[in-house]
Amino acid sequence: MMPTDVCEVAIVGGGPAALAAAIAMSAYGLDICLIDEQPRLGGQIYRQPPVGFRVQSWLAGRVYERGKALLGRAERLTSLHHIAPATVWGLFASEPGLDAAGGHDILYEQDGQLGRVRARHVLLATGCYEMPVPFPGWHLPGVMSAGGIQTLLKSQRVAAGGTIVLAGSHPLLLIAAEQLLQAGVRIAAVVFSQSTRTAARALRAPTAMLGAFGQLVQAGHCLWHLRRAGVPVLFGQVVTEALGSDAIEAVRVGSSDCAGEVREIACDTLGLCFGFLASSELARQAGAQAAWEPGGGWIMAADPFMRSSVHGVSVAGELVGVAGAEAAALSGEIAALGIAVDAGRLEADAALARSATSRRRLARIRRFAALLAAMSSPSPQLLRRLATAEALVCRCEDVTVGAVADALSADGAIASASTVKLLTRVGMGRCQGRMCEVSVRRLIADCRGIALSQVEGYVPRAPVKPISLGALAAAAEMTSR
Amino acid sequence: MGFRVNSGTFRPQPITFSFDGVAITAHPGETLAAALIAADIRGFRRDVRGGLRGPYCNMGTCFECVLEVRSGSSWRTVRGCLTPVAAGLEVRSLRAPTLGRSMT
Amino acid sequence: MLDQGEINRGASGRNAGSLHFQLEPRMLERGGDPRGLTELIPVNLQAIEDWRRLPGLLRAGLELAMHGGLMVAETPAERDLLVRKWEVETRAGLPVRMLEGAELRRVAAYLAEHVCCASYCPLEGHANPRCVTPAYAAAARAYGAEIRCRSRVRTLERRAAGWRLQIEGKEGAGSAGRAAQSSSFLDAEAVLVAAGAWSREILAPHGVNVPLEPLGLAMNVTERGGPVVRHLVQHVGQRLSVKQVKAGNVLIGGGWPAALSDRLTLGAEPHVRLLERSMIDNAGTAVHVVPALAGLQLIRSWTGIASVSPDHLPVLGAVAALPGVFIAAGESSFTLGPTYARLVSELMCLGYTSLSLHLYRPDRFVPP
Repeated sequence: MMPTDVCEVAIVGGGPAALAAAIAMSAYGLDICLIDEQPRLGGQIYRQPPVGFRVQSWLAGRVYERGKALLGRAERLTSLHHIAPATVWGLFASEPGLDAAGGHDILYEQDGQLGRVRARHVLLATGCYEMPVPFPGWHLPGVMSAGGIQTLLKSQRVAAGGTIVLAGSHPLLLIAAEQLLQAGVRIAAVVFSQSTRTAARALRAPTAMLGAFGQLVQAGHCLWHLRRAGVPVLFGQVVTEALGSDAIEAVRVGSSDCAGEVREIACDTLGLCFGFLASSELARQAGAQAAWEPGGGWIMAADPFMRSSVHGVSVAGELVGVAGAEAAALSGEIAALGIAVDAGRLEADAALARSATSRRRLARIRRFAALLAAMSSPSPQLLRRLATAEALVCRCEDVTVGAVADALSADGAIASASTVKLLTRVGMGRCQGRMCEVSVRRLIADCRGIALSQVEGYVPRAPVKPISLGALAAAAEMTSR
Repeated sequence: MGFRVNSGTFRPQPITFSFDGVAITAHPGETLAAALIAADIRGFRRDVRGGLRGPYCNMGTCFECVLEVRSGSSWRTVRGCLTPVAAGLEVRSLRAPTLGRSMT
Repeated sequence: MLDQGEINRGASGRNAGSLHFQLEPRMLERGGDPRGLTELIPVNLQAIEDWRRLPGLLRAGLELAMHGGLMVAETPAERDLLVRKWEVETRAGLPVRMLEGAELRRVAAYLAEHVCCASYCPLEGHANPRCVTPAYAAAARAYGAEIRCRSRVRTLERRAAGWRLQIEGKEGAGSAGRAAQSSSFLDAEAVLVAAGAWSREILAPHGVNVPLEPLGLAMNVTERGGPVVRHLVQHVGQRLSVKQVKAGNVLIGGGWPAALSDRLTLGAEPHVRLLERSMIDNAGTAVHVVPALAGLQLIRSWTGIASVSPDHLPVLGAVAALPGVFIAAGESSFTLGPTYARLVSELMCLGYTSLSLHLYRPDRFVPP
């Protein structure tokens, strides 16, 4: 048998939702296993420097205080068994009869070996990733997600390049730009696809009233710092092409509405952020229901206590709606209360009472998250324009937008991403469709004149991350002996 | 190009690993991706058309940073952004898939 | 041609793409009767020719590779099985030879040391199931055939001049959307039921029992790798098929089970669940036989529904009780599919076949 941990609750993920849930569950004496792909707790937003490093100003600033406190409390939990770094590749219902405690088995790979966590209750808090937006040259070395550049700096203390352009539609671009500037990087430009008016609305109105939407306040301050430092912050502009041969050397920038002149800005790195997609592959592989939301991708259906449509599996954080760290922590806490009820540690009405404040706060944040998503999402027209025929839609398999368009026009009956996959190899690479599914579905939606939400994606199946054959074989050997 | 940010940062004593036969200095705790970027190497593998590719998401989602590391007498593929450096580790870039392109 | 979904979405598009002209190990279970096995070989020989000609016939690259196939053995008992098989095959004219020792190492250095011998057919190999059916579809259309997708045949009704099919169609959006249902019918002189595991439910209302049991199977594929395996590799004593396609991915299968939730009413999109045990053991068997695979990552597994008959042979031919209705379904028919299809077409169009279909007749299950 492979190494097996049995616990009451298994949490997959290490970000704010997972941390808040672990803390809340510990208060009820629940025995917890937390499995995460990163070596330290924090997820991406609170991604810590490696053990052995000391970083003075890691996530400095008032806006991160609450998050750092949450992280600190989670790290001090004694009831938490932390399995990391480990890559979870499947979630299966436990085989009946093998263990009375069973509910679900989480299968992972760590150090070339398979492992299993068997738990009666599972909480999936697997976060999100930058929504990929294809355009010519986006596959060149030096082109990264803005979040990737940010975590490289925040955690590894490495600047991705010396002259960086940041582009997209999300306020994260401003925060990343300012952090890079402080680290000594030259920011050649920050390029927003939305007009000044749209952006200003996002940056001003809600924050003035709430004061609580930390990221927007932060973004506003960053904008001020950047302008003061002479960094060009462009609105209503878009990077239409990344230029270079072995790596990016410049970007071509034009107006979002096609009018006006095009210019080139030299750079050695390009950071992109057009919004996020929930990393819900594991939840969907387990059979839980999801629905497509424009501002977040495949979002999991959840009841008031964050229980998914699969008995014993709860979901929290960005999986239930891309809304930032504070919302994630609140949903994690609510999910934990639900699990405490299911585990018989708490009465349902007490749980409702205890979660009332958090629910109100979460609801308020979600309303503004929806507003933000609407104002920081690229329009379908813009996405269509950027995805020229030669742009790669599937980076893993080098399949262009043109190849997919050709397949769709060759056979008018094709209307599913799975069929396009079988015909063109999109989605057949190592990333298992994460980087191309949304774009392929968009091409189908545009071509067939149907709503994006009505286009099925690739079938989510185990393994949801690649697993080494050697690890699988070793597990087979163990059993046969 | 990529560089280590030193202000306010203390790192453990450096070690070296090799990448395509070349010695690369790194600090324990760094990922292969970070160390290579800091060493001005951003081409980790070749794609189907022979073009260079490098890290994109830095969080284990995109699989662009795939590298090969020595494993006993052979090699295995890993994500550079999730693999810590180790003294003496042999790392190599992934060559272009050589058996030829598939249909279409 | 009517398909309840899109073409090639059933077993045809999901199988391993193996071209195995050697007798399958489970056929050896049909009993020690060599004559029973010998009868199967003519179709296999014909299939070799059919596959050789297919890319030209369909004017399409099918990623056809006929570089050779090996069926390996590890134990003396397995070796005996292979030798018995080889004797039958050789006598019937199938090009197979036994490889051992230095010659085996020379031909297939990637095999593990504990593989003691293998039967080798130089013409075995693989093709890409994702290409084959669409190529057939395009060629059929070029000949004037009409192919209707998302059209499920609900009933067959006998008419004076043949048969009336009642069809339930789904227009518009991909299956995720609210598709408009439509009902129509089609009159035909002859009907060929080639609906794999679904064939049974089409003919059952007419009192015709086609004993094809649906079987959930799983396949696995690795990331693209450098050249590791040149041949199709199978195992006489274990469930295994390994092949490396042109793109570099290694396909690993061999008939490992997946869990089919409802065996009786399949529905248009049956739920077939991957089994953790199958994934682990299939990989284990593959690495045991080809150790170099250990360094590769499995990136995708999928399931499909095959159908098995009581004697492991497909059901091909005229349905006696329903004049004008024919069937071509069941068992692993990727390798032999083109040949079976051609023979059944001969039967339907000419009234006779170039190779006997007696072994596969639909009424062989009816007790006398």
